[in-house]
Amino acid sequence: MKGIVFTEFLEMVEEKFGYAVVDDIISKSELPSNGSYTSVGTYSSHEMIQLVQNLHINSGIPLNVLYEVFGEYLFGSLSRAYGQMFDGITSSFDMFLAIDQNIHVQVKKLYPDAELPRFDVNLIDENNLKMLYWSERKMGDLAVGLIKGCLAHYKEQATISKNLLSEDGKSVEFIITKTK
Amino acid sequence: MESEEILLLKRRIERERQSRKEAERILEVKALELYTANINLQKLNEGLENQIKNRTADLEKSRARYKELVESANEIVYEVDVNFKLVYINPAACHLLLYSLQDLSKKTFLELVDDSHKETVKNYLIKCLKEKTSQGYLEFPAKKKNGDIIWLGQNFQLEFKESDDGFLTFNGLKAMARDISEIHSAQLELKLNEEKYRLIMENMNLGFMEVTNDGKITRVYQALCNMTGYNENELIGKSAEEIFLPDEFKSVMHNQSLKREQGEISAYEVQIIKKDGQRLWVLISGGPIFNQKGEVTGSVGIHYDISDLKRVQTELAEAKEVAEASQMAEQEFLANMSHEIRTPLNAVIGMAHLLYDTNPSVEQIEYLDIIKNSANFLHALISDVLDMAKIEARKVEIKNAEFDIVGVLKSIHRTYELKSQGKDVKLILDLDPQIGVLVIGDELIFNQILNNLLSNAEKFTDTGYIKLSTELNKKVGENMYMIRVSVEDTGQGMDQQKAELVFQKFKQVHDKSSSKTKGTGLGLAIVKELIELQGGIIGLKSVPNKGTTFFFELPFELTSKKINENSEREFDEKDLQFNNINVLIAEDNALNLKYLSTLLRKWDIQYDYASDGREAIRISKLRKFDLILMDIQMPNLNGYEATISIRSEFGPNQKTPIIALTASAMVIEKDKASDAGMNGVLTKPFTPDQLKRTLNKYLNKEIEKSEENAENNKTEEVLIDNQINQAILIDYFGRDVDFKKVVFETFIEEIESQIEEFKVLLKGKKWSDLGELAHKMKPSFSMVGLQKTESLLKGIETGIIMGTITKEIESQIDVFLTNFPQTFNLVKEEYNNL
Repeated sequence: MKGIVFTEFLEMVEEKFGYAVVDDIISKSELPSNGSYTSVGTYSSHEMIQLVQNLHINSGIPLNVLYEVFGEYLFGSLSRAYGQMFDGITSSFDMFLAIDQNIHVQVKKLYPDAELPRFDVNLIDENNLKMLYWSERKMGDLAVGLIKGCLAHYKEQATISKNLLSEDGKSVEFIITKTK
Repeated sequence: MESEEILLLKRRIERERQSRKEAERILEVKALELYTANINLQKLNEGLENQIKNRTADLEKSRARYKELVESANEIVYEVDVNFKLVYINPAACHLLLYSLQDLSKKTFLELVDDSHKETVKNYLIKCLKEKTSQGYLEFPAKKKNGDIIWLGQNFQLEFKESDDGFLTFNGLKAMARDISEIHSAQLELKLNEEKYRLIMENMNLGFMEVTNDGKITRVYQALCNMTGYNENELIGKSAEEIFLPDEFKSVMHNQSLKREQGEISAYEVQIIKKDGQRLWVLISGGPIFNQKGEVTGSVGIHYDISDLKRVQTELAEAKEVAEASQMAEQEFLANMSHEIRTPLNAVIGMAHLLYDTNPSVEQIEYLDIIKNSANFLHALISDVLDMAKIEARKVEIKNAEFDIVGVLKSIHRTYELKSQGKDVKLILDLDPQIGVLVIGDELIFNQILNNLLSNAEKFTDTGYIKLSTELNKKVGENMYMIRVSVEDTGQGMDQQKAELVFQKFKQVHDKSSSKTKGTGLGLAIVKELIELQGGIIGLKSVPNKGTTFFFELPFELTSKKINENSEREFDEKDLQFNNINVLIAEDNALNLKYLSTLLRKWDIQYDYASDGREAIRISKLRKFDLILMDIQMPNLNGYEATISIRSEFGPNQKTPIIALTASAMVIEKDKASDAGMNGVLTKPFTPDQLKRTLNKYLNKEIEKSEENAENNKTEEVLIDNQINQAILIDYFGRDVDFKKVVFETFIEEIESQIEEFKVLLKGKKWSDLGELAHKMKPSFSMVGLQKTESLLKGIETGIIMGTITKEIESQIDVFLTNFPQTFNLVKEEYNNL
């Protein structure tokens, strides 16, 4: 998992709960990196799972909420960090369609070792979009947060229905329906 | 508290530091990667640059090579732009067109094309542009700077580019042009030649056709179409044999096809069937067609219409038939005319003979001689012409019958012996003793041949001898022998050139002015025809001024009948006498009747006469005659018919000899006469002698004892030797002078005592002994060349044997004794000269 996800997560935790909570969740997790992250590095996703788990213990906020919130936050951070990638993308649906075809291709060029989730995005009609998600890291909720962040970025409103295609949460279907 | 916060801060700083270090490490790694990548990029760049440099150099080399190639090419290479303006042209153009490059750069391509082809070239290019054809080839004449024409064969490539609106637009042209003047003129010449020969063939109406080995037509020319009425499409692929050939000519064609497969060329004539079903005669000259390997792949036939030729041939054949028929008619006419010609001639000759008996004056006798000789000559002439006509009309039939060939030879020898009297020519007869029997052959023709040859010899021989000899030659079949007869003379002879001409018709080889060459020139030609007709041969040997020998061989069958030595040929015709003889003359021509009756009266022969065949039959029934002379051409019934009637009906003259009197040419009339039952033929005109001889032959009566004085005088003259016959001496002794001496000595020693004995016997009228003595003395006189005296003795001997001593015999004895001293002197003279 890219280092930016860790640095942005710890930024968000420090912003919302103070550095003591950051120190707490790092200290309680077994991290090969010792919690020292840089955005250009790459780290195991297990470190993220432990950090989110320990935040859940520390704050008592449900895991899915934590992932969703972080997703929304992360989209904002990514848009600021990699604004050039957003050039020519004018709506959320364009963005969704661009992810697997375009953005992830660019990411792979820069970071050949990046482990990226796989998307299959199909435009049903101009207001409905179906997105299939596969990931070993079962972070469907993070994806929901990112979708919401994207909708917010383009100031669009839509309902997101999430259907598990497998019980382990590795394969998920999203139907995004614009409401306005 | 404070320490808790400090610890937290320391942990945080530691994490931050570690993060920075990790980030720095990553940056270092990335920087190294970047550096390495950069270095690699730089190397790649350098490699690429080198490659480009090399490629550029290669390109330059190749460009130079192509340029050199183009510049040095013999072909014109050029390029024009979209406006057909010359962009590039190689030096070959200057060389071929004689323009400088500068001149050329100002010209458009079309300006160089000769006026005659400008339009064609332009249209062709326009067509290419319209159809967007990218490649083309064109031949056209171009004009050189000096005005000469050069033929160019041009390959060109048109370039098109796609414009913005998607259409192809012309973008220039590259071309290569080659000088094809030679090829072009060769092609032109070939074409002209082809055209020339095609025209010749068409004009000559030679129909050309090519066929495969199976006889399938592969090519036909117009002339053949015109000839047959078919068009080309109707013939190609068809079987020539099925379409053209009538069944009866298929075998001819088949034979020709076999020859063609052998590669032979030949010509033949066949009929072909035209489209309209008519037939056409053609002469086909056929030859095989070979492929490049030399195999026969078919044949070509040249057909020439020979219908006209065939028609002319047919017409010629018809004309020939007509001509031959008319020739036959002419010959028949000639043969039939003989009667008409000979009857008046007969009268002329006969009357001339009678005139001699009317005490003519010396002058009149001279005229009569001229009339007689002219008429005889005319007679001989007509006989020859008519004989030839008969031979050519193929009307001569060989009549084979038994006859006495030795008798014929002796008789003719005697005839010419008499004829030669008064000339210094000895007639010698040399008979082959092997021929002692009757032979089967044609006596009349044999006689005619001998007569011709001997009269020729007699005509051209003034001194020396004429020798008639026979020889039994090779056997050619059962009892069949070739008998060789030769007539040798010591006459003027002739050279080889003339000798080759003598047997040709109407050729007379001797000087025209010579009186001896009188005649038709047919005699020897007739002889040759008559001999060859019988399967014989004739030839001659001749030396100028030495003499000529004619010889011939004829086949005869020898019978087993011996020749009767005492046959009538031994008597002398002049001494015949007839007593109590009755003759019937059947003759419609008053002149001929007058001639015949006058002669018979002269010889004391009684006669009766009939003026036509019917009357002849009637009279022949009334009483017996000893002989009937029967003219052939008579009114009512002709001589043949009358004879047949007399022979077939019982009557007093059923077996009486009947002699035909015919004016017609000999052979066929003789045959007819014999077929009708006649015993002989007497051809008009005939001399009194001929008639007398014939009468004697059939009446076989005794010799008349008394003769007229005139005839006696004549005999006397003939029987005296005025000189020794040298030819005979040569014959006997040749160069053997010793032998000759012995013979002459013996003669001189013995003869005088014999003469004395002869005179004693005469005084005592001991006739029989006298005869014997004459017989004994005969050869002696002969051996010393006194032939006439020998004949005289022979006459005396014969006369005595006959039993009645006539005035004539006494006269002959008188002549003999009177002339003896004179002849004896001749012998002594000859002996003294030895």
